[in-house]
Amino acid sequence: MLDIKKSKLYTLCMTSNLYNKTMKIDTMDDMDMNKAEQKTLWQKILCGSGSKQDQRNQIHFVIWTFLWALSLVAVTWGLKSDYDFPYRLDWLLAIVPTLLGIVVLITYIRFLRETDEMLRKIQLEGLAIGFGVGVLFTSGYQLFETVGAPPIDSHDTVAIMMFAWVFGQLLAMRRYQ
Amino acid sequence: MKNTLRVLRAEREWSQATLAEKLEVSRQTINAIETGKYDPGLPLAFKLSQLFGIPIEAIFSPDD
Repeated sequence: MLDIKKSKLYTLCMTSNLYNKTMKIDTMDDMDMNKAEQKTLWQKILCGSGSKQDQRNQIHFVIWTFLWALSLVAVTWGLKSDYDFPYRLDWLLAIVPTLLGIVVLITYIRFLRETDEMLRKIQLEGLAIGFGVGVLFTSGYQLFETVGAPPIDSHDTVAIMMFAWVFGQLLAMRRYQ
Repeated sequence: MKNTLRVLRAEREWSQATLAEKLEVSRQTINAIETGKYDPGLPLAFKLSQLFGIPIEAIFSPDD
């Protein structure tokens, strides 16, 4: 009888102890979540999210993407200007954004390989939506062009694909939150 | 899949961030696993099993 009472008391203590510990870790999780939510969009973009390795890879990706976009704008502006470039310098300039784009691609692939499996799944869904929207938009809009819609620039398609990629990521992130 | 991750964490007083750091994954991943929104693959399941020192079946069980 005494053993049963002892055993019940032990179970009660253990349950109560575990309950207190659960409350404690819930508070810790809430604090972490609040800290993450307090970050502004720019902080999230510039500091990245996920593990420390993911954050480092994301920062590299953002920096190289920024440099690529900057070079694309600068080179486009330079080549369209009236400046008379010395022999083949315009060709060399034209290749700069592509070279930087290759670095962006390498940093993104490295991020995908090193990130954890759930974030990789989120990226995959984002890419699927981005690629799908791009293909559908390009092929679909050609039909509209044949019936008189204004022609679109290839840059517009790239921009739409990138927006759809980001939108896809946000959608997938929301699902797993 | 159901899992006992929250209880196992509570026993060790680990926050989601602490567990995420030990497993080298994001805190969001731990949160998604705990809430049943994401089922981890075998490599992560084995990492969890090794970390807590219990078999995978003691952490994860199929939904009834």
